[in-house]
Amino acid sequence: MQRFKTVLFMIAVAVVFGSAVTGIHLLSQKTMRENEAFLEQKSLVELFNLGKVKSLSKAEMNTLIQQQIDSSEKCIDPVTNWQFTIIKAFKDSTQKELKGYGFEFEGLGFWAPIKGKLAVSPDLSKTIGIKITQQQETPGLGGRIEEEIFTTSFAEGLTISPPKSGKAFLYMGAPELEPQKGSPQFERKFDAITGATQTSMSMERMLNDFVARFVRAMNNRKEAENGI
Amino acid sequence: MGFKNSVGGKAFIQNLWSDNPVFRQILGICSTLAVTNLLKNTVLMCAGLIFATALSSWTVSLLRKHIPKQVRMMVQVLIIAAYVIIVDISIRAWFPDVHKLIGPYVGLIITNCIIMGRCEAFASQNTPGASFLDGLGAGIGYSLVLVFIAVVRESMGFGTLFGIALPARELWWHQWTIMVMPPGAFFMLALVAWFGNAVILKKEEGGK
Repeated sequence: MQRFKTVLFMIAVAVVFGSAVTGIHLLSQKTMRENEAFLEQKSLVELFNLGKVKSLSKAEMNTLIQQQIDSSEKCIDPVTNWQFTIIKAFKDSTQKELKGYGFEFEGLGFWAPIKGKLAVSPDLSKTIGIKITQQQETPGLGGRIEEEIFTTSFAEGLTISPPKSGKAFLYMGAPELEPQKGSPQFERKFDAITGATQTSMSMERMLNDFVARFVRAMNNRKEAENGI
Repeated sequence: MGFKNSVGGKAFIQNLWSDNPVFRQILGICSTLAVTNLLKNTVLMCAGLIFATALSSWTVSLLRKHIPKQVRMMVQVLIIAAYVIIVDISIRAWFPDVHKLIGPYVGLIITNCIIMGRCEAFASQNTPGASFLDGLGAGIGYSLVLVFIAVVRESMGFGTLFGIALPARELWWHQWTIMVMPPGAFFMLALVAWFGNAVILKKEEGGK
């Protein structure tokens, strides 16, 4: 009898607390979906520097995305068969002049997967922005890949035109170390984060991999368009 | 009977200092080491823990006469988990930016020994009001230590507090990278535990 009471009690407690948690989850689901959509839009505005995020309302942000972003085209890398969405950003709502292309990348960081978006110029020669959308690196160390200390050099423009055979698209380095100013790699160098060497190395590896895929896929797309 | 002399009041005050969960009971160490390199993350984590500790203790106390002894710890974990998930969902829904910062740590509140410790040691034997105060005191006591450690680590490691640069830091500040790395947390925790215990022991010896 005692055992039966214990089981019954456990079931009752589990039902009560399980229901409370489920109820709160259901109540907040709509808000969470809206938040996710908003964060996605915010990441695109920041990636292409389309406006000042803090001064935009949710509705304004939505309009901006509708008018200046086109994510309808898919592309494929012929070597790895990686299929991705080409994010096209336009300079204004007329959609006549392209501001840049963007694509998503992902890979393993020091602790957990890192996801982000990289934006490049229309001629695919330089980066124009980077946005980390998911990471669980050490707060204050690897976690700083989201901050300006890491993203500025990408926004200012790192060269990503195809390098010489065997060379990398991008290099990680400490501000005072190789590659030095004047060297061919200098224009491809982004600063590592002090105390987060493993995270910085992961970023270098993942960006080189995805930039190579992106460039190949875009060249392939261009050749297809020209009927080669 | 005043607040200081009530069972809950006494427990509340003791948890702040003489029975502080971090440096006296050495509980909740994982999060102490993990989140204290940034003050903002620390404060948010502490707020979640205070909420979960106080309400878990209150609920366990409310049910204490009905919980069968042989499953009491399972029930306590279930109650704690429910409150922590509520904290997690609430932050994700209403403070998504904050969730990005401390999301991985919020789930870990469930495993924080302080909550389970207070439920088992105090709430299962005392009234809901007293248990709530005990949980609140334990949460605040934990938070005081963490905030102190975070202030030292962030200011020495980054030269900032809440991400804001310290005054004229380019003139006097030099970065101690080790302070924002795990060894910095171990050093700080050891110093705080040493200082706290030394002061309390001296006081206790003086009182004899």
